[in-house]
Amino acid sequence: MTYFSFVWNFFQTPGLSRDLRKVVELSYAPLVSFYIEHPDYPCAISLPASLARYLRKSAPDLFYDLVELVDRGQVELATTSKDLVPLPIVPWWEVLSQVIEGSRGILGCLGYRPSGFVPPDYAYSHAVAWACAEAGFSWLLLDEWTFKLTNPRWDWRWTFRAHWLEVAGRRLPVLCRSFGVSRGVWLASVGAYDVDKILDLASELGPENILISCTEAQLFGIYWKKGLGWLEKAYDSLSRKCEIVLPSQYLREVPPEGTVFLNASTALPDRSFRMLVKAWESPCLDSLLETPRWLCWLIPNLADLAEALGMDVRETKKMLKEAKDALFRAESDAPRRWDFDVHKLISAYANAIRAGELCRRSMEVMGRA
Amino acid sequence: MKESVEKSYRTLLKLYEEIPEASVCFNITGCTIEGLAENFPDVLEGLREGCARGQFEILSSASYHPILPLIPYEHAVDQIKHNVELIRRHVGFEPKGFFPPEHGYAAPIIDALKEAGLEWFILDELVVKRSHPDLGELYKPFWAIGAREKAICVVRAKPISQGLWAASVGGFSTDDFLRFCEQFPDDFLLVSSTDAELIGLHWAYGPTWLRECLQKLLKSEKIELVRVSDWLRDHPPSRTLFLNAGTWAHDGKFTLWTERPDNVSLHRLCSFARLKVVTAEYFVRLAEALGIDTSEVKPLLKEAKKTIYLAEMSDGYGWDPVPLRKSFAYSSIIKAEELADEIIELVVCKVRRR
Repeated sequence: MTYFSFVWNFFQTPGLSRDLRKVVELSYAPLVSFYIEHPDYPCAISLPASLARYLRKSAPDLFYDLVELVDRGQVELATTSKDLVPLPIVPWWEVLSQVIEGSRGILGCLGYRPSGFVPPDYAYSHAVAWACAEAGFSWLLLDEWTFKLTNPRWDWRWTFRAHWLEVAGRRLPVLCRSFGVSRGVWLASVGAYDVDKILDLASELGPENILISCTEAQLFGIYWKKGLGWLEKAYDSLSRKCEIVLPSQYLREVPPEGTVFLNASTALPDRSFRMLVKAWESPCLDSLLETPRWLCWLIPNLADLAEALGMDVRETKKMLKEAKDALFRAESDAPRRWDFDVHKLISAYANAIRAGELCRRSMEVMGRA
Repeated sequence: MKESVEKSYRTLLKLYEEIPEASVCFNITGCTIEGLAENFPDVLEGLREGCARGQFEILSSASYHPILPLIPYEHAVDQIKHNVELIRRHVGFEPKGFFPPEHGYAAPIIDALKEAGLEWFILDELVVKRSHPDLGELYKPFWAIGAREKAICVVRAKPISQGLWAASVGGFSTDDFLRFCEQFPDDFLLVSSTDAELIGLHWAYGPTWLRECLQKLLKSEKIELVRVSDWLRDHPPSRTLFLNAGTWAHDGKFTLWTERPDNVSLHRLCSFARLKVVTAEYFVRLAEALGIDTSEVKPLLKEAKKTIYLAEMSDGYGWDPVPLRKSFAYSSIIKAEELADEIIELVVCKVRRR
C-alpha cells in the first residue's frame, strides 16, 4: 500500500496583521478545527516561528488547538525559515540563523521541536540542507521539480521515496513533494481535479513510495469555501487505498534509500531564482540590504573583540539583535514574489532601513560604553 | 565643463537675467558645484543673484550622480545631504526640491530625501505611468509613499521636456510648446525639465528658441511661470500614491545600468569595495571606542568614501559609458579598496602600539 501524507503550510508572516487576521479567521482556524473534529486524520503542519508567536498572542484558541493536535500525535510539526527568507539568495550565516532560530522559535512557543523543514518557495541550495542537518531536523521536504531539474530521467518510483542528502559530513533525509498532487488540491477548488486522480497515481507506485501533498492552508476558506468538505472526502477515499501517515512515521517504516545530490531550484514558475533576484524591485531591495547584511555579521565580531578587550558591549549586542530581526524581516520572500503586495514591499524597505540604523547605533553605543 | 559653462550655463543665466519675470528651477549636482566653485565661480554667483531676485529655485540632487535605488541607503542619504550642503554653501539657497539622477526611483528615496530636509521631488511621467497607467490629472502633484515617510511628487511632462530635444532638430516649435501647455486647466503644474547643455552647447539656436518660448509663455493669459516650491505652497496635493521603482530609461527599468557585462562586473566589484570601506569605517569606530586617536585616519576614510561615491556615478554604467568613463569607475573601485586596506592597516598599527 502506497503511503500518503498531507502537509499544510501556514506561511503568512506577521507584519500586516489586518491580512493575517483574515487568513487566521477564514482559513487556519477552520482547518485546525477540522482536525480537532477528525482525530483519525493525520497531517503535518509547517509554520514559521514568527507566525507561531503571533498565533499564541492573537489567536490563543487556535494556538492551543494546534498544541492539542501535536499532543495527540495527530499533527507533526514542521517549520520554515524564521521570517520566510528565500534561503539560497542570502549568506550562509543567515541561512543557518534562519533555520536554527526557526526551530528554536517553534520549540519555545509550542513546546515541541519541529521535525520537518519546508523551505519557503521550496527554494533549495546546498546551504539549506547543510543548515537543516546542522539544526537537527529529521526531514527536509523539497519540490518534485528540484528532483526533475537534477535528473529528468529519475523514475517516479525512485523520486517519491526518502533519500539521504549529504553535506559537509552531515546527512539528512529528504522527501519529495508531489507537484501534481499538491497543485491538484488547488485545481480541485475549481472543480478541475478529484481524488481519483491521486488514487490513479498511487496505483502506479509501489508500497515503499509516499505521495506528499503540500499546499498553502489559506486555500481553505479564503479561496475555497467548500474545501473542508472536499478534504473530508479525500481522507475517506485515500484511506481505502493508501496508508495516510505523518512524514516521520513513513521514515520510520521506510528508511531513506541511497544518497542524492540535488541542484538548486525553486517551485516558482521558472524554477530558478530569477524571480527572487530580478523581480522589479529586487535590485533596489538588494542594494538596500547590502550594508545592513554585512554589518550584522561584522559588528558582532567587533563587539566580541571589544568585549575581550574589557569593554561593556551588552547594549550593543541587544541592539544588534534588534537589527538582525529587522534585517530578517526585510529579507522575507514576500516582496520578491509574483503575488507581492505593496504593503509588504514598503514593510521590507522600512525594515532594511531600520536594520542599518540599528547597526550604526549599536556601534555608537559601544563607543559610549 | 568649460564648454558647457561657456556655451550653456552662462548663456542661460544671461537670458534669464534679461527676462526676470521668467521664474525657473535649476537642478545642480554636487560634483558640478564643486567643479564650478573651483573653476567658474561666476556661474555660482549668477545662480546666487537669480535666487536673491526670487527668480530661481535650486533643486538638489545626489552629489555624484548615482542611480540611487542601486546603491546602499546610507550612501544615498550621504550624497543627497552633501548636495544640499554644497548648494547652501555656494549658492546660499535652502533647497526644498529634489531631482533624482536619471529619475532612478524606489520608495526609500523618499526617506533619504526627507532625511536631507527636502520636501518634494520630480519624477518622469514614464515612471509614474508604469505604476498607474490610467492615472487621471497626471500633471497634478501628489503625495508619494516612501518606506516610512511621504513626499510630494511633481510629474515631469515628457512631451514638453523631450519636445525641446525635438525642437533642436526643428521638430517642435514654440507654438507647439504653448499649445500643449494651454490645454490644461489652471490648477495643473506642467514641468518641462531638460539638460541645460542642450541650450547653447548642443543646440546653437537654443537660446533664441528659449527666449521666444519664454516670451510667448509670459504673454499667455492661461500660463503662469512659477517656481515649483512657490506653486506647491498654494496648491498642496490631495492624492496619495505608491510608485513602483523605475527610471526614465527607454524600458522604465534599471537594465541600462545593470545588464551589460561591464555593469555586472562593476556592480560586483563596487559592492566588494563598499564592504571593505564599511569594514574600514567600523575598524575606525572600534578604535575610537577604545580611546585611540584616529584623527590621522579620518581624512583617509573621507577620501575612501568619496572615491566609492565616484565609482557609483552613473556615467560609467549608463547611456554613454565610453571607455574613459568605465575606466574611471574601475580605477575608483581599486583606489577605494586600497584606501580601505590602508585605513585598516593604520588602525591595527595604532591598536598594537597602544
